[in-house]
Amino acid sequence: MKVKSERKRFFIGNQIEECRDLSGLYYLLPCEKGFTVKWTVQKPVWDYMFNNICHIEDKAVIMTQPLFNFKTIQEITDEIFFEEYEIKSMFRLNPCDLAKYEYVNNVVGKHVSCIVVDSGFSFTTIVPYIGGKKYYPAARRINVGGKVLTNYLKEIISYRQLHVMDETYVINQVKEDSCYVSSNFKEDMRIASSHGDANTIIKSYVLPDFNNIRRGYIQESGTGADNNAEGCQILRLNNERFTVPELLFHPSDIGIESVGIAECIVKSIFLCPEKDRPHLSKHIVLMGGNCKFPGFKERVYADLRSYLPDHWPVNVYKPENPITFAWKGGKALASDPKVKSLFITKEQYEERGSAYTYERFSDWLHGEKRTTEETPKLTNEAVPSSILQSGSFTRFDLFGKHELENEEPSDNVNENTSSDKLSKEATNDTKTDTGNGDNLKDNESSESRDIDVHQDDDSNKAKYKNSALMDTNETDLCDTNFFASYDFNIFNNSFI
Amino acid sequence: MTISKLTTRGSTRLKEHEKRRIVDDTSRKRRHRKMIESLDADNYHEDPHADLVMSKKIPKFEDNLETRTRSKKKEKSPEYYQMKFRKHILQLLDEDRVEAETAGRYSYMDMASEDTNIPYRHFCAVCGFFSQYVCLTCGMRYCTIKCMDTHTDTRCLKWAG
Repeated sequence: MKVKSERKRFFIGNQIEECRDLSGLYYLLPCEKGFTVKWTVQKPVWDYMFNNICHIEDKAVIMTQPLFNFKTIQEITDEIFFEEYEIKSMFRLNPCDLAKYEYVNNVVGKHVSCIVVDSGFSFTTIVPYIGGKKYYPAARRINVGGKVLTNYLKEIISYRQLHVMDETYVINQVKEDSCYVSSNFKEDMRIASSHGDANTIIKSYVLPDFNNIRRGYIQESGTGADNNAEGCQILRLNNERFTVPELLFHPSDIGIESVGIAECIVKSIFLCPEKDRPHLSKHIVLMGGNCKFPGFKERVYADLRSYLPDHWPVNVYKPENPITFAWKGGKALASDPKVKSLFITKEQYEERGSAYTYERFSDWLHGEKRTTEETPKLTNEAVPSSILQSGSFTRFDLFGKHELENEEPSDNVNENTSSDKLSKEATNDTKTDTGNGDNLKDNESSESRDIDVHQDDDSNKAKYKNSALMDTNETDLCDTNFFASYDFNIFNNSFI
Repeated sequence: MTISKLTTRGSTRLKEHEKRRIVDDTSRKRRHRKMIESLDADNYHEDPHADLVMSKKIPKFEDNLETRTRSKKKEKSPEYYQMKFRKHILQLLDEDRVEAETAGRYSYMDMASEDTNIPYRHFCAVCGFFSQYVCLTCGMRYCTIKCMDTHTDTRCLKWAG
């Protein structure tokens, strides 16, 4: 994502630190609905990433892309990476695949069916994986993400208190710092409407003035007078604190005709074959910045528990850092020796062009609506237990490079949500990485960190912020980070 | 004289009532759609300084930032890619849908979630708590007389345009 402030200067990722006055900030986003459409914005971000932070020439790159990424977008991506950046090889896939990969291999440790819920900036996607493959018929998207929440909060604050419609950045921080998911909505409503000490929900939020206070914070009771004396602007947050995240669970509250997250998971489960349903409910993976709201996981669990039959086990897994979860998956994937066959090399690209990469990386192309093809694949898949088993992987493994068309199993669903998130995640994780990359990696990690400065800062308080920022940035930065980190991993581990 | 008398006569309540314009269903829907769209906005701004011509005195930050390692020959400007792209997202979605239909595969559209079975909850448009009453004019919700006054003074009809 790009952030731009007053002058003719862009701030990319961590460069935001250099920005003095964050109040006039506005975003230049390369993405719309999770798809990269503004190449004039995207390209400089990549340039910055790959020129200054990490270098990807002659490396292998894993990149995330939204589900159903369009052909034209993929073509341009190919062109940029293969021809301009001269990477060695590339593999593109959906963030949910990575999350699933990470979950199956490093969390559960054995091969299971699971549902990945990715709640991102533009929307929330729910993708079930059965027997290692995406199950397209049950994949669902809810058009509510961090973006809507921030905009909604912005709107109600502007109406009820201060005019903040132009302060997306600040309000996003407010959202991350103060919002939470209510586990008992009616009760919280009652508390919020009471007066005096009985109201434990109401909080004062001190807005940043960018001189003394760089980032806003929730004011603890008792210290109010001092800050007031300094002339800070204060927001009173009452029911906003939980009605805003509530939109994820009840989009109908603002008239969006859609089911909420919990309901949607249930629907998705019931769209799957009957024998798999209890298994799916046992493995629900939450990822994406929205999951950082306090109480999110508990709420999902409580709602699911009440919706699903009581003899089904329900288990909701929220990774430590939901934002970087998919990135971790990518990191693990990169060091998996089997992944090599998934890549398309520069030579292959030069020989067969962009149409080829499009076919290889767009697994949804090969999914007939409700088909018979899946079963044989499943049996085959046992081989690469660790690797993404969303058809693509297995195909390649089994069939080598060229025969893709027929073989691709039907079911991969890519999520639209956003590659963005992943990329951000990627950046964060890079810090934590150990080992493999050596120098390169180290550099990368530090750099990526820098870029993600937003996130890092946020991470303290961040609930949502990440999601929103990330999304915006993510497409740009995240991707880049992602690439880079992967590159190193792969490079070191498996490719030399 | 006679004219002014006529105008002063009659029930003020009735006159008030006539003045009140009741927003019909279509414009209520339109208002609602606009609201959703504004919520869904990506916060993308066209660059307001795009046509700003920088004077030479101002340092150009971009130059300092970039340490180019690749040969200039391979570099293409972002505008080049944008030119190549030149499509709107909705256009893309539409093309994709058509293509998916002919190929019988899943597409972006198929993933959209359904409407909920749960009855909608209603919230006061002013204070955000549960509301029981509907503004006769525009159909928005409010919970108390206080909120109603605020509503009629401010928001009523705002999105009706």
